Amino acid sequence: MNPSDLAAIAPELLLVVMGAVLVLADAFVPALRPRFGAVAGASAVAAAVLRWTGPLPGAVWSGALVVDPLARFVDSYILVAVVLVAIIAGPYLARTAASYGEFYGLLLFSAVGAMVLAKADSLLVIFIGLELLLSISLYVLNAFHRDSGVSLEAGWKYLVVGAFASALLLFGIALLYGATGTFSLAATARVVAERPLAGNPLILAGLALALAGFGFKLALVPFHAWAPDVYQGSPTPVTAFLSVVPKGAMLVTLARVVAALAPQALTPKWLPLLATIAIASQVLGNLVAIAQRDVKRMLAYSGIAHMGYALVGIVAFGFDGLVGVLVYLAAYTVMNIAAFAVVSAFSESEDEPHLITDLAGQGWRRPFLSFTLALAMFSLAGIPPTVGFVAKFLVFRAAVNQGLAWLAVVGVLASFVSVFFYVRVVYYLYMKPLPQRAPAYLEPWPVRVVAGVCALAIVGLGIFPSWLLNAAETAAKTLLR
Amino acid sequence: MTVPTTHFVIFAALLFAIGAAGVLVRRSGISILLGIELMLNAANLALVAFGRQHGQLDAQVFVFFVMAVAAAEVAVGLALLVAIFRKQRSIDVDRLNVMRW
Repeated sequence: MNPSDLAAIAPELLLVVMGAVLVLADAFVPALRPRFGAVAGASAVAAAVLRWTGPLPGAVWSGALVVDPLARFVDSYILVAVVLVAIIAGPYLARTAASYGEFYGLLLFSAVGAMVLAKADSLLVIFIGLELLLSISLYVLNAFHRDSGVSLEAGWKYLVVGAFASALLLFGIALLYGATGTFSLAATARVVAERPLAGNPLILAGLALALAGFGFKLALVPFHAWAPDVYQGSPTPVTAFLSVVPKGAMLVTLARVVAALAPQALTPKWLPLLATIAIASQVLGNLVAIAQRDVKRMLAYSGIAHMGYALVGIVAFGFDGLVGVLVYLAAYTVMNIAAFAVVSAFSESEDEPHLITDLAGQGWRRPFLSFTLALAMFSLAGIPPTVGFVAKFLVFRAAVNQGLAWLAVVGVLASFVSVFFYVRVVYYLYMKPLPQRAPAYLEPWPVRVVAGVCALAIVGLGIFPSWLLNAAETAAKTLLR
Repeated sequence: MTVPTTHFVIFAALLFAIGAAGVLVRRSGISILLGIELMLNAANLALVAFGRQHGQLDAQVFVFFVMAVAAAEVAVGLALLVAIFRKQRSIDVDRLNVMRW
């Protein structure tokens, strides 16, 4: 270890320290609890500033982590998500009388896990970032309303599925290590290039197990069954966080793993499998979402479908595909957080379902939040001029350029199906009359701020995508040198 | 005479399968956590066996991290089970079925 190693991970260190400070402050100076959200948000901003002003030395810590522009891109969007979630969590926690400071501490720990995962260049670091840092904090956050049956149920289900998935991943890692004799992705790439290992049963079994572990965490079909319950039962700000941050970090890790192995003979065997998973996720996610009556469950199935679209960018692996995946992650983050921010303000009690029918007529009563929700729905459906359209266009174009036009066709058809249930939300907001005894929803200013920022991003990046595109291209260049 | 790596790996795979079956079949929350422990430790055994075969210490270092992860996971899992038990006076996970579509 030398000082430059420490400098390279300064943002992560800052967040770990601030997370620990918040957890301790909750125990010793509870009077400061109302300020914790601001502290967590400020820490995330400071970490982002450190990342953008700090060095990008490439491989550090003996090759365990790679601090490159790709990592910087992913860090940026993780930290944006942390700031937005910290803002909407304030009024939510105050309202649900669960104003404990450890919420923000765990949020920061979880964000550090995602940031470590996105930089991992070693199977050991992938495992630690995924499980120890990212997921274990999230299990606690899911069950944060410990008096609420649904919240505990969500926490337990996420824990069992998450632990099961990481055990699969771990056994896969063990088998891969047995075949290659190294944990480092860079060294694995060299070993695979030198020796034809494609038919090695250890490699095949190891990759299959690791893929199943990734599939669980990304909620891809057939590993998706946990998602609706966990989305519905978790506190809404936590759902917003867990729907974007772990998935984004996992997808980038998957891209790093594929980049290490793909140029070799492994590719032709695995890409049809990934393509099948992508299509199954799109079709099943969109079809089952139609049947949902709860907004959060609907967004869970929509999330399954969206990870299917993003996976198309991995299947069409190459520069265009990776750019598509990165833009998709950024777009998915703003539109999902916009939707969940509005839902968190549109729900009275956590134990009750968040029915789509309860949105009836709210469009005229809560014009600003309803407009943001409608915009998020159009963006999730991929209708121009929103950022959701740009993202879908990029991944499908990458698929066509790689000679996988059929994959793009299926994706576009699945998107058509999805328009139905996204637009139904808009229909309820604006076309249905307000019921006699409409629930008195709150509209706290932090939620308005987040909704406004996300709405601006959805339209702004949809009309002027070049800024996001340039950032994604700079990031993608580092992986595919 | 040394035991060949294959034997260790087959043994680890069996342990892993028993653990996975435990997670999928058992209905008591504690048994499910035990099944997960078994899966993680089966992977540990495979790691150590491969580490010996390759003559490296990396795998043994990895195993210590896995132990730490397993401990943290079980701590959170047991805490959740205590909260669930307080709520419904049972740790039978089949009763965690409030959410349906």
